[in-house]
Amino acid sequence: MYEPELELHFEDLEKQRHAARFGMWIFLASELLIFAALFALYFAYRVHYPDIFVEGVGHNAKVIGTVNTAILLVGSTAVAVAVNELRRNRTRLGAALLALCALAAVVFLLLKSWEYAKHFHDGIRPGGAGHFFAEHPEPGWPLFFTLYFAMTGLHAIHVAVGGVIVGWLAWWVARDGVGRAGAYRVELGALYWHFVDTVWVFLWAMFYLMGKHG
Amino acid sequence: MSEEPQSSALLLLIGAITLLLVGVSFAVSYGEHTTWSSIAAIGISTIKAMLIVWFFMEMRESRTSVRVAALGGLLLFGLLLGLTVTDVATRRPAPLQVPMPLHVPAGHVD
Amino acid sequence: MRTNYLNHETTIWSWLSTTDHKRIGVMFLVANLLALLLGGVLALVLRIEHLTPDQTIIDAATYNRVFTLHGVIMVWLFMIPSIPTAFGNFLVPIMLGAKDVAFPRLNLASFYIYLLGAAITLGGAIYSGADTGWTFYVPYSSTTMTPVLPILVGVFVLGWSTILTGINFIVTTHTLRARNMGWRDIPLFVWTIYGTSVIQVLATPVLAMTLVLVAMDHAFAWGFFDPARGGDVVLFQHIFWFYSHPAVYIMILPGMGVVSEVICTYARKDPLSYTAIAASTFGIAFTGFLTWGHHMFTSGMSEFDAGIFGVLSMFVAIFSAIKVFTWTGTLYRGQIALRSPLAYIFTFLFLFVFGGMTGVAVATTSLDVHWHDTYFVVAHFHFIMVGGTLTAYLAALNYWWPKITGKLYAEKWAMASVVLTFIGFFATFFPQFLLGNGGMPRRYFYYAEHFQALHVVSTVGSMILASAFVVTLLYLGWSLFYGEPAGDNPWGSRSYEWFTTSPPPPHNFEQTPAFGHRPYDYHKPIGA
Repeated sequence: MYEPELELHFEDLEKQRHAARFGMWIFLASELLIFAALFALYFAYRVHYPDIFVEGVGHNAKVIGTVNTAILLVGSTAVAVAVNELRRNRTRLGAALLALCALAAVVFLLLKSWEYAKHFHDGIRPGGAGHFFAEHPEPGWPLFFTLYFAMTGLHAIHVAVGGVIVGWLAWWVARDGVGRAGAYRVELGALYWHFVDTVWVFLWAMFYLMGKHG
Repeated sequence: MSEEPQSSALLLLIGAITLLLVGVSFAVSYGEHTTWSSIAAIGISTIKAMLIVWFFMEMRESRTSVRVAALGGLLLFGLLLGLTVTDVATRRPAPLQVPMPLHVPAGHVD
Repeated sequence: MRTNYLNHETTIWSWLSTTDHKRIGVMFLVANLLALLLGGVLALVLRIEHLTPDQTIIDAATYNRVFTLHGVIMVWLFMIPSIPTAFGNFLVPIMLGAKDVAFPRLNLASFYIYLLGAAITLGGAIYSGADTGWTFYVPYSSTTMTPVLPILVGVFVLGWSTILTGINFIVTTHTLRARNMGWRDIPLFVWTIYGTSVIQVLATPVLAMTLVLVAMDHAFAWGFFDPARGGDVVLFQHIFWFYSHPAVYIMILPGMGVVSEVICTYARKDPLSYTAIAASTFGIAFTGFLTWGHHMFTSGMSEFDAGIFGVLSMFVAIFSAIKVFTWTGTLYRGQIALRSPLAYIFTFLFLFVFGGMTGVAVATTSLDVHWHDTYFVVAHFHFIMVGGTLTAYLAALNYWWPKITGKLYAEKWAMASVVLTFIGFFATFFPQFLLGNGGMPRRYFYYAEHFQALHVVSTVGSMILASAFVVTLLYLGWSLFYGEPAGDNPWGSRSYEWFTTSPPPPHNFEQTPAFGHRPYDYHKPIGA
């Protein structure tokens, strides 16, 4: 069974664990601020072009977006329960749930790619490229969709990273027989995944719900 | 933060509630779009986010330092959005400038 | 010679793969000084060019690249990392009684990320260099023919070095304090590093995204800020300055920590109010985030928002003033030993207050509409950055030199350097207030003839300032080889870093420290 090593400069394991968690939370605060600039642009441009943003929402595939939201939340639930069960030394259940979350990441990304392909097919590309914008020449249309691609694209990168982390954790837990003592390390990956999920919950509202449907 | 396990059933319940809320916002979005429906969408998202942070990310058992870090990030996020959107929302068209002649010709009554 | 962090392993690999915060601090120190040298040489080129109103030694296109690179190097390769990465890294764990920072391998990663970012930035500069200014305003930065991407990417990478360092210092302060060290026993320098780190982790990510957006606009024509596609260029300025204003507090706060340490040591006195200095650090860090719009008064921002920012900008001055009054009160009735670090601090106090007051002036909307984009602003920020941060950096270099190297330096030469620094600095930058107030715009290659006299004075000043640095490098270099051994505590300080050997042993303390006194207990005899 895995036992963490006490590092030279820490007084005890409790301090070492707290340092790791605290460090991860600060990192997540930084990540939140990375997204902040894009959120600011979205809402500022929404004030500039309210009608275009409302209509633009209608051109996004709401059903896929919703399914994706549910998938990420299932992943989050799985990861949260995994950490909890690892604290009860239930190694195999923990590993399985972590693997489920990693699978959720893969499905999310597949659906997202399908969505992007559909947009490209409809002539909607970042930067206002594509025949859709010839048909919708008002300034503001390129902005809505460029923001869509930028924000969901950045988020998708984070989902990929989160999926890799959670997948690696699933493998590590299974291989090293990780139980209660190693649960805090799995928590760090879990925190990252939950952050990614939380960001999507808002992106979903902004790009799929807050406007005219279909 | 605690090393003790909490109730997995509670975590599953929270997960179910968030999925339910997804269903609710999905359904509501088929109604007519108004400012209020947008606010509702963001509002429901906020509730989901709070559930994730409080229960899944274990904020309810976290130390003050962790809470301050999260709050700090949130505050600045709000600050950037707030003052930037305020700018865009409060711009007024500039007053029209009337061109003034450089010289008033001698003898001209004005 | 006793085993210390310098001599216990001497292979190059032991340095390149070190996780010892002291060695990482020294490597950062060398890198910072090289950056300062490079940025300084570029500044001299600019000043020589401005000896005449027309072309002097470079053409206009080159001039634009030179001032861009000068700004980028000075801000991101020198000012932002300087005191935290060199002195913060070296001293924070020791001041806390710890063996290292919380995440030593992350610390080493920070160093290599810094090197990578620097290499990309400088590579881009050598290749051709951008001409957008260090502020990369759109729409010009989206459309300029000069290759702006390497600098954007390079600075993006550098930002991650900053963020990781910030995370490390915050977590270190929380989790690695010595057993009996409460929050009110932490040396004041650590508080300022902590405050700086908070700004670093929260502001820098916004810069990262801003740079990415400009890069996407420039490389892929994504048009985030293209008016033809509905873009609003003022929004760029919002997200850029949201970082870049707090960035100036990243640059000054560590310097303020140095001021506190040096004053208490050489006045042999407790700070007038420990709480005031520690708390005002967070006052500055917090209010610094509220003020960014004062860089945008003439940009087309709404009057309402401009009004808000004008008012909020006034608050930061309150906390800086608290510090200055507390420092002055600490000096009053102290047993002052006027050594060169303290002489640098006196220089700091004068120039920082001077520059700070002009800051309040330019934060006043109705005044700034005249001074914006003139040399008045250039003079203001150089007073704070060079007059403030750089003097504090030099003070730190002298003050902690014995601790880092184990050697003493020649005090007379150090004093000469202080005097030359002050004279050179004032001659360089004071005329620029007059130039700006007289209407000379910044970043202009050609200028009207009647400005020439002041420009010539400024250039002569810059040569004197440059000579001051040469003197510094010479006497410090001499000290490395021929300096007298320093002893543990040459200044008789009570701060914790002086309670271990100079240089310190590999794990900082020979025995786990239990400091029996608070860091500024000068009113008690030692050992009491």
